Amino acid sequence: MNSPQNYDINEWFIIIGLLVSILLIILLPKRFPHTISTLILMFCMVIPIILDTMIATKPFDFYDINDTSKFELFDFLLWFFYAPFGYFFLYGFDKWNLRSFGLLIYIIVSSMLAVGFEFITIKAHIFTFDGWHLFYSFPIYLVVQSAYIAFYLWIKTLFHQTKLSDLIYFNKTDT
Amino acid sequence: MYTSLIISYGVILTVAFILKKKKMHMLEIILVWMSSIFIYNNIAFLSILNYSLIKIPDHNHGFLAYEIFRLLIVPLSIVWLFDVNSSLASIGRKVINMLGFILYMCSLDYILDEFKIVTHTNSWAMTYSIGLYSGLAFCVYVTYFFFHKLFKQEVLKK
Repeated sequence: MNSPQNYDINEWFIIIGLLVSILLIILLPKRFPHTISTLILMFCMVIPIILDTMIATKPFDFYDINDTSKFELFDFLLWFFYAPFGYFFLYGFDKWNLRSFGLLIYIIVSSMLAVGFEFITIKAHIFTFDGWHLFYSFPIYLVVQSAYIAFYLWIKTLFHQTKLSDLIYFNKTDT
Repeated sequence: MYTSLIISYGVILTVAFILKKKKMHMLEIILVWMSSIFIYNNIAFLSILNYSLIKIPDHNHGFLAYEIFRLLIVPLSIVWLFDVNSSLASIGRKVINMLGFILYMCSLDYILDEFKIVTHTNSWAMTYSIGLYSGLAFCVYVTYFFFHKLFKQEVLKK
């Protein structure tokens, strides 16, 4: 994996942003079991990976990430930068116990904030658009954040329904 | 035509998996699915963009077939591998199952190449495919192992 020759604003943005968000996750009072937190972080990382690989590579190639079209170390670190945002979003959803109209407002406002943050990342040269527009991102965020909530509610139900006898995979080595 | 074959295979695999009686817990299946997408995508990025070992098609239907392979067939095959492994008692059978998985994935790689959905360049060797899928299975297994421990501890605490 290529490491950058010069540490510009985009690299520093990712480093500082990543450190601050990890620190925030640690400092925030614990809200979810570690199992659920792990799955939330993974899901919030995998969805952008799927979308980025679909629309940022050929045949569409709507935008470039970081300095070059090669896969750099900071492209890899950027995956981890996506995850905390989904975590904070679900943290707020769970903390304020949002339902019906409040939930709709929450998704719309957070999608607008996400577009605002994306604007900052463009200014920091993390994304360079080539055929993509910031306005296109808004409906994507609406769908993705609704998917985060659906996913969270699903795994939360599954977690609370789980009994020890359901976990059999490593039983032979565990006992 | 080749694209529809790959899509059909993906759909059949998914339906068969849904109907199959699974040993693994759904949360574990989700974790294995996501971690295999994460690891495989990063390796694919390196192979395509940095080392030009693989070429993916520019046309939309070929790209769709590759996405089906990357996001559905590969993760589902890994989940299937672990699910079958959980019903096997002896280590010897587990090793044979693992070897079978690697052989199956390498065959899929070969078929994708024949269908021109993925073009392996001259720098690519069969050993790379073997290394890729063994490494992928190992990394996902390690992630799964630690997740299972954590999950079990938290279920015990409930």
